[in-house]
Amino acid sequence: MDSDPSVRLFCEGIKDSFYQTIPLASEILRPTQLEELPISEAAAIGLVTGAAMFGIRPIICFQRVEFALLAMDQLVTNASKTKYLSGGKLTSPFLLRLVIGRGWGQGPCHSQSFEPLWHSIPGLRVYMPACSSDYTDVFNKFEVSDSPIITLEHRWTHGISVETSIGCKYSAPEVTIFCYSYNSILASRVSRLLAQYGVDVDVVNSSDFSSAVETVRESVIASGRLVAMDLGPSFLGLSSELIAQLVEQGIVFKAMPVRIGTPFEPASACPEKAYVHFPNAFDLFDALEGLIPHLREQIMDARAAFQNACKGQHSDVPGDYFRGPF
Amino acid sequence: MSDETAIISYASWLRGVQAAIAECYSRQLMRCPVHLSIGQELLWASIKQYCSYEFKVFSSHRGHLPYLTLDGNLRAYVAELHLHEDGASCGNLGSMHLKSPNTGHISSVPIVGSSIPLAVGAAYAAKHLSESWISVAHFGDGACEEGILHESLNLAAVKKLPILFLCENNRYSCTTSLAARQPSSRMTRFADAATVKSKLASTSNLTDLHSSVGDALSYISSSQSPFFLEVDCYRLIEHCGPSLDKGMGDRTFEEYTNALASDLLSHSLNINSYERGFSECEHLINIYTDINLSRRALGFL
Repeated sequence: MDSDPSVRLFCEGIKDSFYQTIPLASEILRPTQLEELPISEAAAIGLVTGAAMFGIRPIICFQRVEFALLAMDQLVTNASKTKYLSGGKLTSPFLLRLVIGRGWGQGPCHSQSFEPLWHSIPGLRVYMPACSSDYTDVFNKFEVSDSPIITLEHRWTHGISVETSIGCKYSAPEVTIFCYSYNSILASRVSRLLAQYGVDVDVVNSSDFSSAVETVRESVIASGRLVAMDLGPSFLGLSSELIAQLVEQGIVFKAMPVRIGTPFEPASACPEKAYVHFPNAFDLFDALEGLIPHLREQIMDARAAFQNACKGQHSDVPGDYFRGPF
Repeated sequence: MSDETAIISYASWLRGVQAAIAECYSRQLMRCPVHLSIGQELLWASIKQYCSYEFKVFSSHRGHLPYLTLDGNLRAYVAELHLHEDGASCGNLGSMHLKSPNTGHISSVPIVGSSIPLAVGAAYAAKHLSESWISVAHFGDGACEEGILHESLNLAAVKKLPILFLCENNRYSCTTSLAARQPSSRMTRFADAATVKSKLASTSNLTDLHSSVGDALSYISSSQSPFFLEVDCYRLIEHCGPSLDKGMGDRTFEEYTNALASDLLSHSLNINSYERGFSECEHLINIYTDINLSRRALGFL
């Protein structure tokens, strides 16, 4: 991207470095490629859509997912339909970075992800990265994309070290966990712990839902058991779509699949209530106990080990790697 | 031929074309909502005289005139209204999405105000890729009630972009009068708030209208800054379709009578151009009427 002079980085508060994700960019991009934005999300998305039609390659960042709701018309009516409406004569490739908040009192209007909503718009590509290779993949896809791309970046996925492996794969897993974004970090942690007690659980980290069903399918054929995790509500979530497609494909489950997501209600800003609202490690342990009761003892041991490791820590931060407060 | 004679001639042709659409719409074989601009032709006929500029126009549901002015392919226009594959968008989009990207009519978007920031984006691209086109956001008084206009004016002003905000104030949103929707009849006040230079012109004064269009374009081109041109005009027919709004909404029959009596184009109509427009369009409508009738007979329509 550094060699492409048509790239432009648009951001409200560009000098604030967008959660330490921009300083590197400001070293490789020229000052004329960095654009401060007025607080006008709808016009900004319209601008990048129109500019991309004529050869500008915009990256645009909003501090929270919820701010993009103000630009919904531009995304649905224009950005996603440029190619269709112009009979293929024009395209609008841009990268929209939206941040999902969590912790430090983010509350009901700064912690939503709405991934089913973005996925329901034909013409948009949506990614939900968890680790650095997921982020690299998003940028690689953007370089060759002719569609707008939305990347939903959970705040608790920023700052994860490059070496941290996300996702686990076993030849004969007991259970398959479908997850994405921060849930993948959580599930990987639980899975690594379980492995120490002899329980092999596949964690299928799915930044790109369009290819997730195939990967999950392969794992579920081996395990016969599925936990499907959503960042937002289970109601009408990606997990619902995943399970529907697996059932349509005739997958036979050894036990009924389990979904883990938030209740269908707004999130509290209170740390303890927020911890219970969003999917957490204990939800996962509970689900696994139900699915593989013959390994209950091992799961209980792993659960106790996890609880021990958490003692004395704040419940509204994900770990030492996170540079907050929000 | 002087500019004004040419404008009258082309505006008369535009009215003839639209009159043919209005007359044949009742056949119910153009199976989409059609929003005509009968009464508003002089503005686009004026713009046609400035074809030395390269335009990127972003319009609305009422986008027939920029389409005809910039492209002029009548067959593709009539076919599109009949949702036939010969159409400007292969018959996929119909009347509310008329466009011809190759000739500068980039899009028409039927969500009020929605296409305005796209024009801001095209202006941004012109500035940053050193292109000479003038981007045009074409909208009506109704779009001035949408927040997106305010955002777009502010953005174009702060980024100093070469764009024409072209507002056709036809005084009605569907059947609702301007007085019921806004506390002032002047749209230029929105430009003032964003420190965008503006001018008010009217289709009732052709000399001033034509020089205002020219001044706006030359200002944008030389200063590389936005300009807001409000054009007072009057839509002589209903919002969507060929008839008068009689008995509906805010309009009175007296208002129609007065508007028609003071319609400059009606008084100075070039009959030959009008009839040529009407017959060319009617001929094509008859072709696609027959095609659609035969498709319906086969059970396809």
